[in-house]
Amino acid sequence: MRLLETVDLTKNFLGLTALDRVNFHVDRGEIVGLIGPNGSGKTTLFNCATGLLPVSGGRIKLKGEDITNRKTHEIALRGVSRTFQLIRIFPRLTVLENMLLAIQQHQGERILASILKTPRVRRLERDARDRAAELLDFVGLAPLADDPAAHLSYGQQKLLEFIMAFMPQPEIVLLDEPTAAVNPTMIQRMMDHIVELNRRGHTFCIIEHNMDVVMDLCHRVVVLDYGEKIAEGKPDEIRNNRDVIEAYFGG
Amino acid sequence: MRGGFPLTRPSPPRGQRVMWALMLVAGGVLLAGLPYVVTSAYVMHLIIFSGIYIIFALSYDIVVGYLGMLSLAHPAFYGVGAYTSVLLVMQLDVPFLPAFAAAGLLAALVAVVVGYPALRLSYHSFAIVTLAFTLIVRIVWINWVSLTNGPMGIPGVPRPRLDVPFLGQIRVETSTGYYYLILVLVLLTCSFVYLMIHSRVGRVLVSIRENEVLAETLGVNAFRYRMVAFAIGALFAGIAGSFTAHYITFVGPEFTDFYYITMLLIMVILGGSGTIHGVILGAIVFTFVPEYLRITPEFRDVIYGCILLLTIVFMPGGIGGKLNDVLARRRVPSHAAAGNR
Amino acid sequence: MNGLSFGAIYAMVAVGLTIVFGILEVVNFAQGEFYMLGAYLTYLVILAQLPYPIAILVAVAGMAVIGLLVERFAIRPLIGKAWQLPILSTLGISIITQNGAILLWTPNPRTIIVETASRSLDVLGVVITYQRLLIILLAVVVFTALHYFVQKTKTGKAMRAVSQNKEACQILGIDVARISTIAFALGAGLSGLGGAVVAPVMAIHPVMGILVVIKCFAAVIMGGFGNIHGTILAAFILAIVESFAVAYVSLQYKDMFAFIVMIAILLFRPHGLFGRKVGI
Repeated sequence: MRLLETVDLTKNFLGLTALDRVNFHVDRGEIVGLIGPNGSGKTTLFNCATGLLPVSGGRIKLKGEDITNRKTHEIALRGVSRTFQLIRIFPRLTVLENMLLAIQQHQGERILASILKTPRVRRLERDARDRAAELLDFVGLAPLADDPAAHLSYGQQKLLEFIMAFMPQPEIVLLDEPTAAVNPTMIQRMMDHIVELNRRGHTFCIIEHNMDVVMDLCHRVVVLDYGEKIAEGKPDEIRNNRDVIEAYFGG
Repeated sequence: MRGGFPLTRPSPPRGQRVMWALMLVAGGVLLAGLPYVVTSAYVMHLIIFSGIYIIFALSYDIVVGYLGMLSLAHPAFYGVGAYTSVLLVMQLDVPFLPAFAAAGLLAALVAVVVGYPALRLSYHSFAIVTLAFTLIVRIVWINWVSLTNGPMGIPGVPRPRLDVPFLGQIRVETSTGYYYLILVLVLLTCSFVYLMIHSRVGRVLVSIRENEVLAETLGVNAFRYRMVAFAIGALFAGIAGSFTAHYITFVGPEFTDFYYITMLLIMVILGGSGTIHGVILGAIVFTFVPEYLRITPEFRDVIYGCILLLTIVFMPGGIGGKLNDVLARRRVPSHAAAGNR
Repeated sequence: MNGLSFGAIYAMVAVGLTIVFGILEVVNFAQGEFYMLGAYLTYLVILAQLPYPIAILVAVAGMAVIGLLVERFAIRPLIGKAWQLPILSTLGISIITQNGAILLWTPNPRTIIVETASRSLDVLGVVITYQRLLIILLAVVVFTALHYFVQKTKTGKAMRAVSQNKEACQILGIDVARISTIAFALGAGLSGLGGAVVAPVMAIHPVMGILVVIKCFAAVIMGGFGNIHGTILAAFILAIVESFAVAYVSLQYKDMFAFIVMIAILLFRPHGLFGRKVGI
């Protein structure tokens, strides 16, 4: 089933076409790699899909529902989690607080109830903490739960941002260069986590420049160049695709 | 600005908890018995005003400290609260408690109306628009004579009469009476703010302040939370204004004077934005100190401006912030101290 | 005619605001006080029996110096920290200056009479004083010079570059701190000029800055933060609307009209009429 889908997605910036009628989809349970040279529109696609950028043309659908130009928080609440190229976490808050903020207790939560800590709210808080503890344990960050996130190493921060995406039980997780600037041990760790979480049923779309990661991890790869989709297929097919090689090394 | 951090701190050890409890009890006894210990009417007057400013300053810190938005509209809400309860009581014979509640609620409503367009703007535009709003409100107080009696204000505001079930009617007329009333209000306000900060709501507000895009990506409706914080801040400001009007038995355009911004900023910033105890300290100190200095208002404001500048440049966390650092250092020695700020 | 000359004054002060915002990303809440000080400096020079042109020069230069000092000691230490801090700093300066002025010169308004300026001229059936003519002409001259400065000179181009991308400029070796100081001094000087030319027209008093600066804020918001041309246009629009409103609607609520226009525009275009042009 098509979880996330773009139909003729187009994005223009003052005369520059960042995305040109891109047709792209991710099925449930897949790990899809999104690759292409710098500036090919990969992050722009993520930004459009998560409502951070208004779309110039085309549609974006989540589970069949049209989410084009919806507000960012609405899209997030519908089950789309994402990470950023330059890590976005709350450095001045603790690791645990970061995790707790990654989950919205219920849509349209009643604010007064939250403040007065009704039993229902207290139960939801407890569940959230349990879930956070479990996820932190999964990635090995549990001992650092009460430390300010700023005190973590770069790799640990990337892990935190990564695992935060799983707090709200997302339908799909969009990862923007999860292994960028990370040491090889951490890369392997990240890949193991992704494989395991995928085994548990999570769906991923990953922007990556590290070809080894893409080849090992992804079920299917989509290639963008100058805003256009130039190739799509299994990693082996893409590796030998002439257009792709030219895009990366030609001109 | 440092602002507040609703820390998910581990519970303090038992010994410390017992100590806190004892201090609380001692404090409670002191507060309850205060009117019988203080003999000077003047000092009582200052104590009551400290109470008012504690509420006013805390309400401001919600918007400026936790939400991180530079709002200059608070004097307007203070005035709205004051005029609302006075007019309800004097023109429509509404009893004090409902009028008082209405004052807060109307101030919150005004905040919602103003906030709806204003909170979409950039932070800088928001500051400017709230400033404009305060100036406009003052112009309205002065010029809408049929409603507000113009620049002369409305004297002879009746003192509060509380119809409390089982206790009958309580007339608040003496210093002692006003003291207990403001004490109750201060306790309620502090409790509410404390609960809010340590709840999810406080955490979300801080997240919006720290990185709005990230908060939105995590599913937070930043606009809605902004409106709520802005309205809550206005509500308590309105209540403070209403109490003041019924205490000094007068209301006038001076209630919405820009001077209050200076005062609020000093109390909040120097006291320590984001710390309840810091703001309370700031409110008390800056109620008492200027009175004892006996200087002209202009000279006082020059000094306030200088203090504001010096605080911002050298100690933006305020005194409360410094206290927090000291306490945090003792509790979690290895981590928090190292460049937490 | 009133509208045009006040438009010129609002434009001067507003352009000062917009340049400072474009380059330092700080809203200078003390801009109104710079305007007020410019008027007082003019007053003092006239009091010393010196000619009016000297007064204007002193006001502009004096305010530029004050702007330089303020930027160096009260703003620069705060750049890079939380965004609220520099703004609060200017707020502090505003409070100190206003009350200092009250202490120094009492709240009583002062007036100055400039001989040549109060004579009037008949232009196409409309009587206009020399002073108002001077204001408009001076505005034209100053804005033309500013345009040339920003577009053609090395420093001006550096200023434009900084307002577009501060980090890139730092990497390229542009002295951003120096540019910031120049920008702030320029903004203060423009404000001082506004005060100097309004001094013979209106009474001078310590709180004259507040109502003017608010309209200039409105002009900056409407015209686009950092957008010089937009701000100038917006300033004139606001002044003309205001003069019509006073003439045909109500004198009491005169100061509100600028806000009403601003709020109306912001409701439909939150980024102002022209949006933030990238760079000044």
